Amino acid sequence: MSHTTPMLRACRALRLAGAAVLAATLGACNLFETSVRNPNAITEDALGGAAIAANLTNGLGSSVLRSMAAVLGPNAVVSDELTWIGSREAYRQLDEGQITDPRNEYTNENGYPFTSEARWYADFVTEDRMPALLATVDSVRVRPDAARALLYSAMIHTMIGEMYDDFVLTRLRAIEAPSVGVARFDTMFVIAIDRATRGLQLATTAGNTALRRDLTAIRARARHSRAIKAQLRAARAAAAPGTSAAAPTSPLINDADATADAQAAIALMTPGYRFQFVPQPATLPGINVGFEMNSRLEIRVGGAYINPNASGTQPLPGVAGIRLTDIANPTPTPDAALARVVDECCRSAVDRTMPMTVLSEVDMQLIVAEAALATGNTANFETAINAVRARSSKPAITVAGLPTGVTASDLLVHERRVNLFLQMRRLMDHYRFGIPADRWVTQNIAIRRHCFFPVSFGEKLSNRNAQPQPAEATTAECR
Amino acid sequence: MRLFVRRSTLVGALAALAAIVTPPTSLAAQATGTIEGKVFDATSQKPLAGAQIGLVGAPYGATSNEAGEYRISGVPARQWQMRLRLIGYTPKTVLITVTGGGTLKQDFPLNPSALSLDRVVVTGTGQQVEVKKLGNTVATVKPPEGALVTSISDVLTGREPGVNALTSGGLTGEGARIRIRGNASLSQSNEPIVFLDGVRINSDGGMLVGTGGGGSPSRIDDIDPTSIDRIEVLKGAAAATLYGSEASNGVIQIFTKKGTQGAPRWNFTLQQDAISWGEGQFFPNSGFARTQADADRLATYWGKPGLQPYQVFENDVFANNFRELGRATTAAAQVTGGGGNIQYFGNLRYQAENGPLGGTDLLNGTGLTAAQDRARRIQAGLNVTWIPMTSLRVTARNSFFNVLNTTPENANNIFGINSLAYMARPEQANCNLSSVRTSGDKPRCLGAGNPFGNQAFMTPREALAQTNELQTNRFNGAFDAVWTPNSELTLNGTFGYDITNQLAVGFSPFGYNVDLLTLTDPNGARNSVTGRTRVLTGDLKAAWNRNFTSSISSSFTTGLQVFNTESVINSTVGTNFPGPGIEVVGAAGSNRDLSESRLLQVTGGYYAQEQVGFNDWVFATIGGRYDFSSAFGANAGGIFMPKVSLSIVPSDRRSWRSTTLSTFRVRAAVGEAGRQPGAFDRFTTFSPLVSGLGPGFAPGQLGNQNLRPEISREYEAGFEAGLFNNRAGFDFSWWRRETRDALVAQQFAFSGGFRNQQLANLGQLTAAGVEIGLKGTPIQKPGMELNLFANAAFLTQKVSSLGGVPPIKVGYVRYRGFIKNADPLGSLYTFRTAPACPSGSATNARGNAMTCYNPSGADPQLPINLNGLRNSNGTLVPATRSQMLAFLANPIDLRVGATRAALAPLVADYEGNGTLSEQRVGDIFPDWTGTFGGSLTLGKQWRINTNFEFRQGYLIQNLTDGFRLSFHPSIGSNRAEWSRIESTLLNPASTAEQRLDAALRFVQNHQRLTPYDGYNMMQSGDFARWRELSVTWTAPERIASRLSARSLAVTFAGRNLLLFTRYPGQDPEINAVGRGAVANPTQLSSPAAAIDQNFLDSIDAFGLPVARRFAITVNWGL
Repeated sequence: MSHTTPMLRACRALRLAGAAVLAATLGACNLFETSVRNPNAITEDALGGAAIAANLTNGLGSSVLRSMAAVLGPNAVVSDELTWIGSREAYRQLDEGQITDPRNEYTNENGYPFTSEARWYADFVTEDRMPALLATVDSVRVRPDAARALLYSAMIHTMIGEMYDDFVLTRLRAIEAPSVGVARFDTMFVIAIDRATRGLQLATTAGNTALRRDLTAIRARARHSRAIKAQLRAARAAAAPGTSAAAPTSPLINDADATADAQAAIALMTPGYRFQFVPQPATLPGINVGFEMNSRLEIRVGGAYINPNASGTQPLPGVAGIRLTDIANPTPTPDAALARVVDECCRSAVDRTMPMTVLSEVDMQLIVAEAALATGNTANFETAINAVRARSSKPAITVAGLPTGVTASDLLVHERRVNLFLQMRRLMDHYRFGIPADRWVTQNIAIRRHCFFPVSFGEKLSNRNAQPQPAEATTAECR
Repeated sequence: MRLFVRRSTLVGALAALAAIVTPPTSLAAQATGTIEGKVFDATSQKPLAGAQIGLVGAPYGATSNEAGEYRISGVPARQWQMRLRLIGYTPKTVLITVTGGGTLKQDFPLNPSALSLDRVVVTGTGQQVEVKKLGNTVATVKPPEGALVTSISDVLTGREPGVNALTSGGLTGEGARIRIRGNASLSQSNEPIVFLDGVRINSDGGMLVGTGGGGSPSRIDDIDPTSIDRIEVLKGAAAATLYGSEASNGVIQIFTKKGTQGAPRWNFTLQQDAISWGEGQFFPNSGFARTQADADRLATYWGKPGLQPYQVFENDVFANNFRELGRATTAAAQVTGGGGNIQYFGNLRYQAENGPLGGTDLLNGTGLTAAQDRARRIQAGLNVTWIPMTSLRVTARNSFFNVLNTTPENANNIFGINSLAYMARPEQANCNLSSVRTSGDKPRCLGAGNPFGNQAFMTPREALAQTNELQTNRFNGAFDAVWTPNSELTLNGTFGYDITNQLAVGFSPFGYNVDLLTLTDPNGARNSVTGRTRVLTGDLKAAWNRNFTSSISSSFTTGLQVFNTESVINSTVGTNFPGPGIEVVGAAGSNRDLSESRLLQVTGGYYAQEQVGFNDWVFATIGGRYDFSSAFGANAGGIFMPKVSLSIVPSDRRSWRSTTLSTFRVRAAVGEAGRQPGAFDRFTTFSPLVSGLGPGFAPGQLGNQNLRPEISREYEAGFEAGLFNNRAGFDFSWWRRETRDALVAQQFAFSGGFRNQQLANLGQLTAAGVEIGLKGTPIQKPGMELNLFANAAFLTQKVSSLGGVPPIKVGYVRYRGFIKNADPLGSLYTFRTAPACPSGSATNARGNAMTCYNPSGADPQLPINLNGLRNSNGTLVPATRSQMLAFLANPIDLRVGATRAALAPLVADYEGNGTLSEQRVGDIFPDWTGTFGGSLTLGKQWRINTNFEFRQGYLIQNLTDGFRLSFHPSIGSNRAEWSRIESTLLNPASTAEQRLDAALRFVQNHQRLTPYDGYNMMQSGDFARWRELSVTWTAPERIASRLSARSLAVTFAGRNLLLFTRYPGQDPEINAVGRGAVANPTQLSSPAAAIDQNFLDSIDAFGLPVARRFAITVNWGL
């Protein structure tokens, strides 16, 4: 140290300073690095490999769930299941039976976009990604996920078939594809049945009984609803434009394939089985049926079903809140099946994470019961309908023993009403059994033309091939 | 040995520190002297603070303090050219000689100048440049003397033509949205980018938790307004080219005060404000009884004896229950001083404000805390300038801001205090769940109840128990070194950081449903959000200035700039607490959710500019910038933006003699700047989506690898004229902007799977405007000086092309804005009433016949389409008077849907576009904006300042009255005008004629929401507001010195004193959106959110009016 000259010290200091400047400069280079990653979402090029198959399918299921949460509320408000009590007139429109306004904010801004997303995504998963994965060495591992994806695909196509009059089908992005058209709308059920059938093949190969059960059940539902929609469409087309469409003269469905599927599904189900979608808070958009009903208080269960509290916002606690009685019971008794589902769906404690039932054993029994009734097979009807009643501990009935004025058909409609509550079936029953909802206004389209949801204003604004145009126009059949 | 090394390291460090604070030997050895003096107004003798005094060609300088004094020491002994500049005064240059060890006295008496072409700016120029050399405008805003400004937002409000600071309502802590020359972008933020002392800063807004829109702070307001020296504003692309691909909406650069030489000088400020909503700023709630029993009950409840059925009565629920006198206290201290090598400026300010929202007594006895509108800011900063050698100046600034904002739920929000108060129907009020404690104007229930008559959602008292709080801790600093190796070359490096740490909490406590009405999380809910934003700036530049001949000068600058921005936001949510007292999400029993989002964006650019001067009166500039960014698509590459400008100052020619036209300049500029897409807009993504099924993902964003910045080219031309030795000045600018490759947020068909809008460079926007400024000093004599000013800006904007994309809807269904091809930006569309057609049929814009009604004859037609009747060709049929009288022979009830449907307005297709609901009625952006006012100085002691701000030529969507003055079963329908219509139609005692009059008023003025019409909801917002008034008394020196003060001044000031408007709603400055969080690049945001920020303007939707403010301020200098 003592031999160090001032010049040498200066040189060392300069070297040190130079190194510091270099280090600082290199460090600063990171400031200029423009290849940044996006850690918030998955980029499309990362969607490969069998490892992602399960999550691809989960996402599809959640997307289907989300679309149901967005559509269920508007659907149930059109029917007598839910009624409007809040601030947004879009619900008033629906409550009074104005179902076909493409601008309605619930159907336009929520229902249609989320449903479109789920439908497109179903095609993306089952027709694009899964076939590629099934063609790889990982096919055994992927098979259950592929079958499950086909189940969700069948579900979304069935729901669209049930709830819409027209829709746009495309597997492409960013194009303006034509809408299917009212006349060809049966396509939705055809696709749903096809997806379920393909799913069943995969589930069978994979030896997955649970998936076989659910795929069989969704195919039964799709076939049953297809027959209902065909009836309604025929009645509507038969009525001249501007006149009122009549309810079908023989509304009971006896579709052999649907019944066979329902019976096959029942055989695979435990009594009372239900397939439910259970959302998490992050699953749902800001507006969904659970939040709207149990938190925001825009809507509540309809007056025919419940006795509301003093402020009119919710059912009274417990059985006191159930108004609708079991029509098969000579003593007016709040219907136990309804009491159970209202507890599950429609109290503030349930809030936004309301579970949604898509498939159930009672649904299958009701399909079997309806077919039996349609063919006059009272014994089979009684067996099936009593199986339904047993699930909510209601006493068994015989058709002959029904209270005066109550027919077997009335009982079927009633059991469908309470057991399929908030499962998007009531509106079709309103139409086919000629039972208008309590809040419908005579001049409105629900009463006059038995219409369903239209292609939305937003879709038609961005897709000039979606008909009818301009975007605010409604189809000729529904004016 | 280790100990020795440590000690030697310590000694070395101390030596280095000593070297820093001790002047270098070479400087110390040189003979130096000192210059000091005073700067004052030549007429009034009033001392002038903030004057910049410098020696030409050397880093020696000072700024005059509050007493007008300055001091520069350590100046090498020789002859110097000394230059003084102060905005608003004529600059001065003197030749001085400094002697070794001597002190030179040099005072500067200044005369006001209405034009300041010699003022120096640095923003957008690469180096210090006199304004006269620039072909584009650069505005300089000084914090207004005496005016009642509490934030930077206030400093920017109404100062410069074309620069608008838009408040959104009257909640304390509300930050302004800033728009310069309108909107250069459709889908990206239209906020200017903001710099503080050369360093890019976070200029976001928002509370991080949802509150409804109002009371949302701007991060610009973190900065202490008393610490700033000036703000430079570049208004558009012609001026902002050197800032590149984020600058098309202009640049705001804030400069803080720097230290001045001398002994420490302290300045203390104490201020007390009173804030209030005046009488008549709210509209009372109305109702009427339908039966005698109801009337008797309401007469008792509201203390209105003798109330009869159908008699309309009123109670102002908000004003009577939720209004209080707001208060604010400010204490600030500043110190400046230093020697020849080191100067410092330090500031510390504390400001606490509790706004005019009251009603806390409603929660007395519940154990719950009431939401309040509060803001508290603690701001500290230290600026140190170090001049280690003649050629080097190093500046370091560090600031710390601690800010707390609290705000209630508010605005267009069914859980807002004010919205629920506005929705209340006094006829429905009751305390049925307990009993009435008091009655009359301020009813209270003993326990649970519905004291004001709310029909849905929750009671205002329950809303009051929901709180929102945002805590911000922010560290901001700049390190700047300027090296001038010789008289021609200057090298400058700047490094800066801005780190914002935030914690936001939205909280509803357990059991806040005290009135048992709300079912929204009655067991409580909490949303806790933490956010961290870090912005780093690196900026290197070189300037080379040379006079090539005696008549040709050259200034060349080149540089490299990079901004590196990182943002992380974590959010947790939970509801259903097990019991009271819990204030953590972790205790929540259900609906637990968490999210995290991260963003990193890097943008850099190179720039160069050459400016050539001829004989010091003609200046031409050419330059450009090349940008690269992580946000550009993979196929987009970089982007180049050029600029060119010309400035000619004939009055600087030696031959110019006129004192009438004492200054004259013409200028022209054209330049480009950009606005780049968001950090991740280019990627095709699938977003995480979970449910009970497990982890998953769903379509997120369509993606576009061709994305590049949209480019705005701006042309600007204008002139300045100084008259009568610059006692009057006139400034005129015309500009035109063309935005090409405009980023259009295209909504692709939902059938393609992707719901979110996707950006594409498809559109083209055009805008043009005129800016006019007039200043003058009509009276200038000993003891009195009067200065007046007026400025105005005209703006027109149009969507030249949407690139074939269908119209884009703005906001939710009730808002009536669309972005449509070839229409003005911000256009509103709704139904229009059919015209009268007394002499034949009316025709539309395409020359075709359209629906009309004939109001003449024995049985005149009315603009009513009774029962929706159409004739055989489908056109609407007007009802006749006799038909209407027959329809109204008996009472009708507007609560019945069929009745309302029967009374449809007769509407017409004026445009011939076939869509009755989309007739363009105007737009939301004012044609003209401006300010006028003046100042009066009386003697040395008194000074009065005032100004008025106005906006003209725009429409407001009055959604508040859309609800309150039309039918709605659960909210609204509660202003007297509406109640009278409803009661007249329902009252059996009314005649058919009276009902017809009411029905006409209903159809023509109050059919608004059915279902999304917006019919009659668009109203002119034209207004003028008396914005500021201040009266300052400066104590004579003898009084100040008696109080041991160097200076003493007392100011009385007011803000938002009076409003002049024909707008029938609450306040034309209300806006539903507030200062949102969309400001690139520091937060993730969707194009849809940006479109809402840009075009959901002028919406009166349950907001709170702008409050008045009065203050007394004492300034005390030591």
